[in-house]
Amino acid sequence: MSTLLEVRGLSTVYHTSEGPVRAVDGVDLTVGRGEILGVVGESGSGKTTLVMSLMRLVKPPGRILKGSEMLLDGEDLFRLPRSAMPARRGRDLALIPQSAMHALNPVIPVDRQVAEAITAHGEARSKAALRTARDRLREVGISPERCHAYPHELSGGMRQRCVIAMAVANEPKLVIADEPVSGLDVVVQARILRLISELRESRGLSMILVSHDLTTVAKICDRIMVMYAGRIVEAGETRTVFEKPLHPYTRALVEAIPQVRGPRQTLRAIPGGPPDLNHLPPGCNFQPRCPAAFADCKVVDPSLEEAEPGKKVACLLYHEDERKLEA
Amino acid sequence: MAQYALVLLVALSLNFAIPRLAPGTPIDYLVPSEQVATITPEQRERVLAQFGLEKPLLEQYWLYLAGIVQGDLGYSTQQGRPVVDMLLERLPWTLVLVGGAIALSLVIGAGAGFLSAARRGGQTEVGGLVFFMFLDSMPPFWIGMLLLVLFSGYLQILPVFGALPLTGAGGGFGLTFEVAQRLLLPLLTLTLVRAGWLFLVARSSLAGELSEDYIVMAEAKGLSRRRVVGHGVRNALLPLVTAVAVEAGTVVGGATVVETVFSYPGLGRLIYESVLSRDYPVLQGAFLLLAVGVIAANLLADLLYPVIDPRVRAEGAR
Ligand SMILES: Nc1ncnc2c1ncn2[C@@H]1O[C@H](COP(=O)(O)OP(=O)(O)O)[C@@H](O)[C@H]1O
Ligand SMILES: [Mg+2]
Repeated sequence: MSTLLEVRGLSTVYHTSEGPVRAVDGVDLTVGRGEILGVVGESGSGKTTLVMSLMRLVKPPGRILKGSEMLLDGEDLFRLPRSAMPARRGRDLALIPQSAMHALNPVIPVDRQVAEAITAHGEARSKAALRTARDRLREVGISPERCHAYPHELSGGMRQRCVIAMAVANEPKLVIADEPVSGLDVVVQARILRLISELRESRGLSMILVSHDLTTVAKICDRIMVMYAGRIVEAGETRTVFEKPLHPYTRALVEAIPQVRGPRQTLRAIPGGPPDLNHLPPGCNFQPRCPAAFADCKVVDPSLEEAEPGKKVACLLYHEDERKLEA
Repeated sequence: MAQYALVLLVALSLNFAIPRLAPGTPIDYLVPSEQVATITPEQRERVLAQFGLEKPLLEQYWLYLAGIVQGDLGYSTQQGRPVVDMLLERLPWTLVLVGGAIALSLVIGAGAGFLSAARRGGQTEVGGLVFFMFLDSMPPFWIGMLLLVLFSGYLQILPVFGALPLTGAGGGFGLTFEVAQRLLLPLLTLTLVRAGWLFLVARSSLAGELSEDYIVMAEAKGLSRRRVVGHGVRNALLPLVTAVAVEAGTVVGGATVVETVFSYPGLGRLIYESVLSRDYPVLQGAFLLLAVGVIAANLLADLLYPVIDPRVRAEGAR
């Protein structure tokens, strides 16, 4: 599998009244052609900021730091002039934004909104674009007679489908989906996930799928990255992350999943909340909440390193050398 | 629709009731004040009979409504002419002034407001904001006086008094020119007065729309900045239509002041003259006409909503 996207050292800060906060802090990631990469983390861990950074749609007071690199097919999109981005968005990179049900313009029929995505990238004739738009909508399960509906006439799940149709309308190289199923009821969630898998099969879609819910990500992703306080704390194949979580945070996430089969367990939530980015703890960001923390954790800030083949983790439990360094 | 009929009926009834609730006898209002003391009982009877004021109240009310339906609003106590004729004479002037001011202030005020919201934080935008907030906070007569002094007094390029009789020289074109000349300053004043408010409404409503989720999607699918803003503008129109409709009464009020300042021969000026000469039938008729105008503006806005916003259309159909 060849590499489609390679991100190196991506950092995005928000300038707040209390000073700058790094909502995304030195993130590295790669997505292979035809691969789906999952990003999980609690709300506030910086997932949306990561997504918007990749789209280069971060708004003030946010800013992508210099030195961040984003190579799509070898070309660094962060180096392009701002004016070159509209031509890339929707064609090179497409977005399924968070709360996508509200991402449709309420006063324009949905087929015209999809058609607009097509005319924005070359198709000059609006008739032809509208026909293509309707095909795309049919492909995501919107019947021809609903194509001309306004967003408020459609259910949340259908609107979600329309946004997906809009995102894939121009056959983008990479689709980035931010919480594509949250806010939908369970049955609809399952259908949307199935749709995404189908599109992946039929189109060979490459994708980054972001969610606060590990099970959602586990269902369709090839690899998973776990995000905490703007950093990646664990990364690996979906199966290994699920079956053998290394980082105490990942372990807590896995244990928090309610088990349908097997003996009843009390649901274990992770105590505490995500850290205040203005006042990060000394050492490891997770240390104040960590059940496995020891003395060094308050001193050393662990980096993301390979713990086993194909598995990276940022935790002193697995970093012999870093521990010794402090001794 | 039923609401509008009801509002209209209330306006008509108030118009009927208010002069009858006013202190003093009708004679005080109907007879020129210097004659009130010397009037004989027979004359008194005759005046009352002439206006139908000796009849029972309910019958008066009925006759009043019937009169309005037939386009009869009584006679001016000062000029003896039918009130309807006097109003119709002035109406086109005010319509041109008010209509023109609303249209122009929309183009200027809302246009600048949208621009300002689209490029928030820029240098021009602060200047624009200060300028239009200043306009919005100035009383109409003050702006009118300022323009009057500037154009007529200082630059001497426009007539001071709009009430100059039209000469009609030079045929249709000449007449248009004369009207335009009289119209220009009042129109400019009223436009500037309204533009401030519309700027603020347009700016804040577009700024609100531009932070909505659908804007992110519009950007994400690769639209140019102009088309992204276009999406927002389409949604920001609704509050603007509301603002124009709600403020229709204020525009008319502003027109009264502006017409007076410039001696512009419209309804506002007529109201002013009638107040001075205590010509109550004319006043009553003029107020009624203004009330109908404001109600019509609101009705128009209500009819426009579903055209602009499909969600309103759906509610209406339900
Ligand atoms: N516009 C903003 N201004 C300041 N801080 C922000 C802004 N948007 C997000 N943040 C901060 O960035 C962090 C990450 O937020 P976000 O990317 O939305 O996380 P997630 O999508 O994982 O919930 C949070 O601490 C949040 O408070
Ligand atoms: Mg988010």
